[in-house]
Amino acid sequence: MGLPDEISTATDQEVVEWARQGHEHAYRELVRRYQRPVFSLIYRMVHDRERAEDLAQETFVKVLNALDSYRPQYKFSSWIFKIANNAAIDRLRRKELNTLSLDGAPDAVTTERQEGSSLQIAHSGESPLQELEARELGSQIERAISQLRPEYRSCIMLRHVEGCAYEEIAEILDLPLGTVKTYIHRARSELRDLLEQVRE
Amino acid sequence: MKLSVRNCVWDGEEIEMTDNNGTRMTPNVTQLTPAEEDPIVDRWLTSLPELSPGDGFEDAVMARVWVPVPHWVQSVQNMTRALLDRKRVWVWAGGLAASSAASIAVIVALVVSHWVQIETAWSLLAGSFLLEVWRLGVTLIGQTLATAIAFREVWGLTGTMTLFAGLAGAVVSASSAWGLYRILMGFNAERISFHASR
Repeated sequence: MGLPDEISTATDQEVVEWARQGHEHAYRELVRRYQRPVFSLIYRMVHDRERAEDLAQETFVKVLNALDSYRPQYKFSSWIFKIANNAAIDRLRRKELNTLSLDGAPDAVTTERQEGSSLQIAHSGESPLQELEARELGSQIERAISQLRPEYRSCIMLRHVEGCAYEEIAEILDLPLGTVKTYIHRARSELRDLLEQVRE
Repeated sequence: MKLSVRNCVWDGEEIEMTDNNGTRMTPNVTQLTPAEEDPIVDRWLTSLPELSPGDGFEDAVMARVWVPVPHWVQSVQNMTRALLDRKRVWVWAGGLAASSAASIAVIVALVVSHWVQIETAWSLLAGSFLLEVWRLGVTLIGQTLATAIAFREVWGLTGTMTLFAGLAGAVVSASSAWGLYRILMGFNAERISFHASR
C-alpha cells in the first residue's frame, strides 16, 4: 500500500498509523511536524543549543521507537511534549543551567563552541538597527524566562508558545489543573516583574 | 468597572469583571486564548523567534529509529513461515525434488547408453541443415546472376559497364548498411540519455 499524497495534511493519528505500517515517509513527516516546537521547548528549558539538539533527538528516537505504545485517543503533541519536557527536566536536575546568552551557551569556552551553541535566528528583513533592537528584546525575554522555575517555564511556554489548553498542559506535565493555573499565573507575574523596563 | 474580555489582563482568579450590560462575570480561563488572558506576556512570548535544530537533524533521528517491516512484507513472511511449518509442504517439496532428480538421471543414463545413435542422429541433422543452407546460397546467387544478365540484355550493356554497375550497386548497398547502422546507434544513444536525464 502506498502513502497518499496528502500526508502533509493528514492528522497526526493517521500519520502515526502509516508509520506503524512501516512507511519511513510517515516517520519523517512526524519529525518535520514537531522538530521546531520540540526543539524550541527544550532549548528554552536548557538554554544550550547543543544540549537542546541532543535532547530533542533523544525525544524523537524515544517517541518514534515506541509508536506501538501510543494510544490514538490522546493527542500526539501532548505525548511528544511530555517526553521532551521530562528529558529537559531530567537534564536540568543533573546539571544546573540557569544563565542564558543568545551569543552561546554559558559554558561555551571556545569560539567554535560559542558558535555551535548560539541561536540561529532567521533573517526577518528588518533594518540592522531594528534587528539589533529585536535581538536585544528577544535576549531580555529569553533571560527572563531562564530565571523562572523550570515548572513555570514549561507551563508558560506550552501555554503561550505552543498554544496548549490548560487541561493539555496538566496532562503533559502530570500536574493537577489547579496547579497548572497557579504556575502560569505566577510565571506571568514574575515575567512582568522581570521585564518591567520593557513595558515602559 | 467595565471591561471587555479582549482588553482584560487576566490576573488569576482574583478579579471579577462586568460585561457591557453590567452583568458580573468571572472569566473561565480554560475558554480564553492565551492572548486574551494576558496580551502583554503573550506578545513577548510569541515575539520570540522560532527555533529550529541544525541541518541533518531529521536524518540523525532517522538513523536511530527502527522502522518496522511494511505490512505486506510481513504478510508474505508470515505466509512463508506458516507454509514452511507444515509437514505436507515439505513432503511435496521433497517429492518434487526427488522426481526432478530421477528424471535428470534417466536422461543422462539414456544419453550415455545410446551415445552412438545420438551422435549419428545429430550428424544427420547437422548435415541436412548445412545442405539446406548451401542450396539456399546457390539459389540466391544464381537468381542474382540471372537478373543481372537479363538487365544487361534488355539495356544492351557492355562488359565494362556491367562491372561498373555492379561496383556502384555494391557501394550503394554498403552505404545504405552504414547509414542504417548510424541511425540505429544514434537512436539508442538518444534513448540512453533520455533515461539518464529523468
